[in-house]
Amino acid sequence: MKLLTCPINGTRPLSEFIFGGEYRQAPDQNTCSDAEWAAYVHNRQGAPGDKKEWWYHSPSGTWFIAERNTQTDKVARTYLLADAKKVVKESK
Amino acid sequence: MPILRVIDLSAHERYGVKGPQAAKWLASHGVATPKNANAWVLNKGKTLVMRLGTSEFLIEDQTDGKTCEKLASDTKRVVGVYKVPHADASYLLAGSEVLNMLSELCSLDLGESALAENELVMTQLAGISATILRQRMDKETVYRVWCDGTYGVYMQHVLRNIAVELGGSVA
Repeated sequence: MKLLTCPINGTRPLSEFIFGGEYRQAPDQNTCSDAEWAAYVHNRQGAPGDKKEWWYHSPSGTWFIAERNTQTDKVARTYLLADAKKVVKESK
Repeated sequence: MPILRVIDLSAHERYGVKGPQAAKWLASHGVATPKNANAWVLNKGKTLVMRLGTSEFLIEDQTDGKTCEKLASDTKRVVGVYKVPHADASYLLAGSEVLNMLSELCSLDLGESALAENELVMTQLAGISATILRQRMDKETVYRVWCDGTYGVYMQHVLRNIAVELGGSVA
């Protein structure tokens, strides 16, 4: 059984989760060019490797970030978006 | 001890609230809340207060409880407090075969060693999202289950089928 760890609810079967797409920082819509905004809306980086992704734990309604290598399917860590700064600081 | 008891408690009054100020708002109404995420407390033996995740609460009046009615009567809007309407189906499961029943429905271990007193889990039961907790009631271990009300008939059907499979009968 494939497992994923929700930062609030713990380790659960993958069947309890829904993939929410890659987590990407949006450019500032007030200052970016049309080309930059169009690239953000329409383009995706498809190369396999380490990615930040949105995942949703459906029984509890918890959205969180998973850092996953899309080639090996290894999840390095999961955390709430609100804790992202703390996680980055701790990893340095 | 009976093999299995499945009691429909969907008629109990419920009230939901969430938001960064929800715990404070409940405290101002005299409702004690669990300090930890995914935990529950029984207020004065009459009102079950569940903390779902970190900042959402599900409150359920037991027999004679009046807290939900009191909370619902406060219609003043408060920043950081959001009401969550609930129309849950709710069941009480008990009996000597209750863990066998749950192991057929859920991939998590819900025994005493895995699910501590005053903890709750939000997981899938019979393929649908559910909140589950274990409590002592009249010296007996019972499990409480909540799921979306629209799945109530399905859940009851599944629970009854398994009860019969495990040697029980439908009253």
